[in-house]
Amino acid sequence: MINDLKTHFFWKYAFGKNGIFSGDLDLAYANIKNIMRFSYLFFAVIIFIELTNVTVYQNIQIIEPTWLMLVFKGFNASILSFVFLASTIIILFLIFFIPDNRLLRVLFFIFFFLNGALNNSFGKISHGLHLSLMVAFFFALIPSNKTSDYKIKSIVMFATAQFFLLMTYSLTGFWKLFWGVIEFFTKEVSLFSPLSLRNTLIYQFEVAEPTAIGTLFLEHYTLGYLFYLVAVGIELFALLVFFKANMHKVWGVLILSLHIGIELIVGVSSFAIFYTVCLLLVMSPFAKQTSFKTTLLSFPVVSQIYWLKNKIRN
Amino acid sequence: MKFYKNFIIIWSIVYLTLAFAGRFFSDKKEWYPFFRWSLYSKSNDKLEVSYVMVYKLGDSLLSKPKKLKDLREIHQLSASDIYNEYLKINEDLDKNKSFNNLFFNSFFTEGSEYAMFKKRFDLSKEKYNVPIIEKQLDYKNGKITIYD
Repeated sequence: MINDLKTHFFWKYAFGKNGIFSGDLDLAYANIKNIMRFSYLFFAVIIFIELTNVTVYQNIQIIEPTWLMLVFKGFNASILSFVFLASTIIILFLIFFIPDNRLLRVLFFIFFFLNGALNNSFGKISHGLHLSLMVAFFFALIPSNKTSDYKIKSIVMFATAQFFLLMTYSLTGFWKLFWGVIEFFTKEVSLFSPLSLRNTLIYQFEVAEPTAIGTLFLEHYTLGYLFYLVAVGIELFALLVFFKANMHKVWGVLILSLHIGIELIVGVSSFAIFYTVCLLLVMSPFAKQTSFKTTLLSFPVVSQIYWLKNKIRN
Repeated sequence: MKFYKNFIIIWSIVYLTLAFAGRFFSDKKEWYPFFRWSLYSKSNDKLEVSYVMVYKLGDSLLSKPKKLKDLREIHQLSASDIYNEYLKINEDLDKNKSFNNLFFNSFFTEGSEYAMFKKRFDLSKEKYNVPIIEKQLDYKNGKITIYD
C-alpha cells in the first residue's frame, strides 16, 4: 500500500527528506488516534457554547435559509437548534465511549453541519466554524480499524485535512495578492501601500468597536503595515509547508500568532479556528524536529532559493 | 485505497469549483460551507459607511440622538449584523429607490423616529479629510422619506 503512495503523482512528494510520510507511520497513526479523541472534546466545548442559541433563536425567524435549511424554512429556529444540538451531544457522548465507531463520526458531522447551516440562515454567513466543520468532515472519512489498510487510509485522510487547512490560509493570502496587484493599477491604495492596513482598520472601526492596539496602529501605520506584510506571507505560503514534517509545528505557531494579532489589532476572533490549527498543525502527527539550520532552510522561499542555488552549482 | 489517495485531488476540484461558482451564482455570494476565503482581501481608498441615528423610541424622546448599533438592548444584534443590514438597505436604495423597513419594524415600536446617514471618507491621502455626511432617509410619524 505504501508503495502505491510512493508512486502516486501527488503523494510521492510526502516521502522526500523530512517529508510527512518519511517518519514512523505507526507512531503517526497512534498520534492521529489521540488527536481525534482530543478533537471530539473540543467539539463538545463548541456545542456547549452553541447551546445559548436555543434561547437566542426563540424570537428569531429563519429569513435567508442556506440551501440545507430550505426544507426547514417554516420550522421554529429554537426547536431546530435544540434538536440539532441535542443530537450532536448524544452522538458525542457515544463517541467518548466508542471512539473508533465511524458511523458515529459520520452522524456527528451531519448534525454539526445542520447546526451550522441553521446558524447561517439569519441573513449573514459567519465563517468561525467552517474549519471545525471541515475537520469533522475529514474525521468522518477516516475508517474504523475493521477496514483493510485502515492505518495508511487514516494517515492519508488526516494529511488531506491538513492540506485543506493550509489551503484556506493560502487562499486568503492569494486573494490579498490578487486584489493587491489589480488595485495597484486601478486604485490609489493597494496592498503595496502602507495605507492599506490603516484604511482596513478605519473601515473595521466604523462598523465594530475599535481595539486598543488597532488604535495605536492607526497612528503608527507604517509599523502596522510591516506586521501586515508578514501576516500576508504566513497566509500565502502556508500550502508550501504541507509536505515538510519539520515545518508543521512552526507554521502552526505562526498561524496562531497571526490569529492573536488579528484579535488584538482588528478585534476579530474565533476560538474554534485557533483550536483547529492547534489540533492539525501544532499537534501534527507527522511533526519532526530538525536542527535550526535545516529548519531555516526549509522555510518557503528560502528552500526554493536554496534548491535553485544547488541546481545551478551542480 | 484508490478513493483515499485520490480524494485530495477530487475534493480540491469540487471545493474550489463550488467556492468560486458561489461568488457568481449565489445571492449570498457563497454556498455554505464552500467559501473562497477572500476576507479582507481588498484595500479601500474611499469609504462609505451608513449609520442610523435614533431620535424617538416609541413614545419616548431620547435626550440625545443615539446610534442604532449602540442600542443593543432593543435589537440584540452585533455591530456587524447591523452593518450587514445597512448594506442590504443601501443595495435596495441604489437598485429600487425604495426602503423596506420590515427589519427595523421588528424592534422599533410605533411612534419611533430615526434617520439613516451615509459617511464618505477619502482615504487615499495620509491625512484624510473630515467625512462628508449625507442624509439617506428618515422615518417620522410612520412615513418614510428617501433623499437623493
